[in-house]
Amino acid sequence: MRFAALALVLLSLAATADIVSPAPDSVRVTLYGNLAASSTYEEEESDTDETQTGGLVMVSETRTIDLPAGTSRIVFLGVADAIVPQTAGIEGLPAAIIESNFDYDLLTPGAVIARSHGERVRLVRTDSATGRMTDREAILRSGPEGVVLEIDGKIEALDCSGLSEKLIFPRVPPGLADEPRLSMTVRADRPGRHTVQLNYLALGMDWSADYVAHIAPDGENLDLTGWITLVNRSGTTFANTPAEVVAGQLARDEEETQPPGPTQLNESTSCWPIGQFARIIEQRMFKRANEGLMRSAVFGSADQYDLSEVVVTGSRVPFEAQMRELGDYKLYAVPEPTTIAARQSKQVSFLSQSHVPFTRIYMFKVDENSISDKNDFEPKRATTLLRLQNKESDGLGKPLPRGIVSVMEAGAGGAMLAGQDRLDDTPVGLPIELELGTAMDVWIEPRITEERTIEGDDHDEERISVEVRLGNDKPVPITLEYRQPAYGEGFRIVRESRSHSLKEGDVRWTFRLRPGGRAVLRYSMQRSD
Amino acid sequence: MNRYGIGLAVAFALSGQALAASPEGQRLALTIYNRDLALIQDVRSLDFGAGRSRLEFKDVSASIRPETVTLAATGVDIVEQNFDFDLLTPEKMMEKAVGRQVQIVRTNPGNGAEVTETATVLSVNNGVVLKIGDRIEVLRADGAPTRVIFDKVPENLRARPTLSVNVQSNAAGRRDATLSYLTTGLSWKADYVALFDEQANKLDMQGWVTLTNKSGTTFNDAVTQLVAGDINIVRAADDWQYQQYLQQQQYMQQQRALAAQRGGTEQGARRPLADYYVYPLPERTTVADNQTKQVGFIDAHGVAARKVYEYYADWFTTLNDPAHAAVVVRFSNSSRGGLGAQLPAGMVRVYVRDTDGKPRFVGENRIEHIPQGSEISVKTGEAFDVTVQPTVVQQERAGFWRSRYSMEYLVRNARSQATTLEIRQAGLWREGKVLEESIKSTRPDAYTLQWSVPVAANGETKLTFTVETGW
Repeated sequence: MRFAALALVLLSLAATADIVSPAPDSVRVTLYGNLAASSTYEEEESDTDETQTGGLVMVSETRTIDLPAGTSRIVFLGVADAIVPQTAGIEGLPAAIIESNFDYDLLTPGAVIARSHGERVRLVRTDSATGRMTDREAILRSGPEGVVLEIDGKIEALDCSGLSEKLIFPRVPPGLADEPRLSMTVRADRPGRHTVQLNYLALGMDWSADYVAHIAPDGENLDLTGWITLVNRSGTTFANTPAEVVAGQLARDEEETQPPGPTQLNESTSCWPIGQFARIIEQRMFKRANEGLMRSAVFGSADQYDLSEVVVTGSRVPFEAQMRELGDYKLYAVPEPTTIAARQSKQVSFLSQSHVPFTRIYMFKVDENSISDKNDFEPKRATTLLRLQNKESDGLGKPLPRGIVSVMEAGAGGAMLAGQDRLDDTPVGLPIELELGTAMDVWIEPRITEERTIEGDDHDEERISVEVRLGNDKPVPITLEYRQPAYGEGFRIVRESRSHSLKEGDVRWTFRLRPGGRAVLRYSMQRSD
Repeated sequence: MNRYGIGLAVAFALSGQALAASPEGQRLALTIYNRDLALIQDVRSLDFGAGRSRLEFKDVSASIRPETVTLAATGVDIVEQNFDFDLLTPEKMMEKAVGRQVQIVRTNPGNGAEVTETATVLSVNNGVVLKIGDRIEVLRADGAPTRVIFDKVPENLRARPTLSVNVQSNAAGRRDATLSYLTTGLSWKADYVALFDEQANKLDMQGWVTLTNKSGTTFNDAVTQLVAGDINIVRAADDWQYQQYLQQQQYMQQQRALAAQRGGTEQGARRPLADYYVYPLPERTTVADNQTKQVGFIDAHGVAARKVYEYYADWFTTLNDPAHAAVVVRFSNSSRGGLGAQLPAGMVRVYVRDTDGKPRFVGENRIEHIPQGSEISVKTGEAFDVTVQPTVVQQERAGFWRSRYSMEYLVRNARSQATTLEIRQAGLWREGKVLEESIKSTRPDAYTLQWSVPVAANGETKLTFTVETGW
């Protein structure tokens, strides 16, 4: 009987021999999470919230595996800590995959208690006055949400007396691991050593494109440089890794493509209510004792992703990331393998265009609600726009991933920031407009001169007449665009003092104004009431 | 070993205590449904005593739905079933001690001296009130460390939820008993890996079932089958977690851009169970707690597939900035197309081979249960280089209940190949008609128009049209 059992154990061991692949030989990462694409970009910059786990990354690991014939279980150690296990796939292994498992039953204080019901443990109490320790044998009856112990046939609760108490366990309950574990059970016809690719998606890394535009002293050209910033928020360091980023909007399902959150058994002290006075003391003591501890003890919480702990490496790689097409996206490869350490950010240049011509335009987009305010004769200020054409003939002609553009202008005391704007994914051939801010010396005074109802056969229409005074107090001539959004059913301009164009959905009138120049625009628009 | 086990069980039964139904000789069968539900069939060999006895099952799923439990064994009738979920915690223990005597051990914070007294618990409301001799005190009102010692664990308080069944057996002896019940915490879905080759218009598709166990229990060496299809499950109206889940599902469905499908006409090879499809796992497997497990079920190569660019406008609107076209991969799961399998609901993740021959992820989307022979569209993302800028050129009344809209769609293509964008325009209502258009449209339904707009490499095309519709 005993022999049979032993033989069975040996057989089952042989049937599923564990092959441990301790670490990848090499890794390549492809980052998808463009920070500018997420709507919470601004919030993230100021304040990282707890659920922020970082963007999507595809990890391709090269591993060498010695595979025996028959059935074996390959355990992959050293995978990224925020792996999405259902995306893991293996290439180059001549074996049938029977099943693939991801175990995240982790060794936590709560799990140790939950798996030790009925076990003998030791309860150690330390007298805070004398420092004397007492050590007693106990049987764990329940937990972790409030631990009940049996001591000498009597029942007591842990951590309810106000004494300093701890439990000592004789062993770690089986089946609990220190880190989540990816494994595949495979069956091979013959043994052999194989170089395989383990591909999977994980979370934890973001990238962003940032642009700096330096306006040349001539005021007609600018130098545009683009930087790719890689941010590793995860706890995994990718050493000597070819890295790539993908620009463009992927369809994503953030709910499904998630690392399985370990259902954590929390060890909590559920006690009977204690007297009001004592509770206050206890809270105070608890707070003091834990202030220092909390940060380090909280597992996988906010501070793991705290941007303030991200180390920015100062070394900017002096080579440019090369762009190539990936399906309908643009892929930028960092020129050399690089080490992306846990909680580190890294910058690489990907664009450097000098002498890109632009035109500076002043623009005002009218909002009827704001100008219909009575008694408001304050002049409005125009917005400064830089207009570029993303064309080779116009000095650019490069795909531009979405990101933030900082425009620098030479001032009296050196370069200064003229303004920042957000750029959408911009393919070659499209116009670019960068809004810099409001211009002090270009003003617009719109006012409504008439509002009336035009009665029709089957419906009425409203007619609004507007008079606009425009002025340029700058010492240089300017181009000023006045834009009227064309919304409302049957919208049309019925009368105007100069002719308009319809562009990008707005009715536009364009003025050239000399220094000190003034102009007046009168128009009437009509739409269904 | 075995004999010792039996002896122990008999001893328990004789002493009038519950017979612990140990998992020895246990045979498990799991049937797992999509929506967080599984049917567990647990066959174990039990030694029944003649007459009444009580069986305790401590190792059933912690997320068991006790109202669904049935126990079947020859010659055994169920008297009653109990599911005790009153968990043993210090607070519960104190509440159950009201009116009883406990020992309190007070430690002097100054010198560590211990004083033991017997106390009666008077109440546990926002503090524990004790009667010690003729004094009334609040437990630990002074903050001094005070231990409370109870005589025993109260009845019905347990470390984990426990199922117990009182049975009446017509004869003593060992025989098989089948315990079956429904549990939450187990679910599965499909994950598909589609490797798309744009040049060859083919894709390779692998399907994996992904099984997740968060039930709190490990199921050892179980025969497992997965059921695809939405079975109707009645839940209590006040089950707010489930209501929330439903709302979320509904929301997700609305949000989901694509993954549309057109009708299915083929009978799949899968074994149907009533109106659902069943996927048995090929081998017995252990489904551990806190585990996700994947088993392959589809491996198809060279499935005919193509990529299309789409833009859908649900109304006549102007955009100040150009919008990017959606990239959609279309394929069929008919047997003629090369796939020939019904697809249970799950995620499709699309990859393409990069210039280095290695796969790169390009996007993912969810699909619902798809019968064999359907047309499947999976949106993978937005095209960087193909953009659309719609402008309402004119909109006006065309009668008392009618409107006329003139639209312009400027389609730009920055790619080095010519391409075609499918624009769909909704917003037609009663008696909607096209007055003029620069490209001939088709009409998928009464309310929608569709144009295939060809755009040259590095070029642009303007689609203009005027429609009139009632409302």
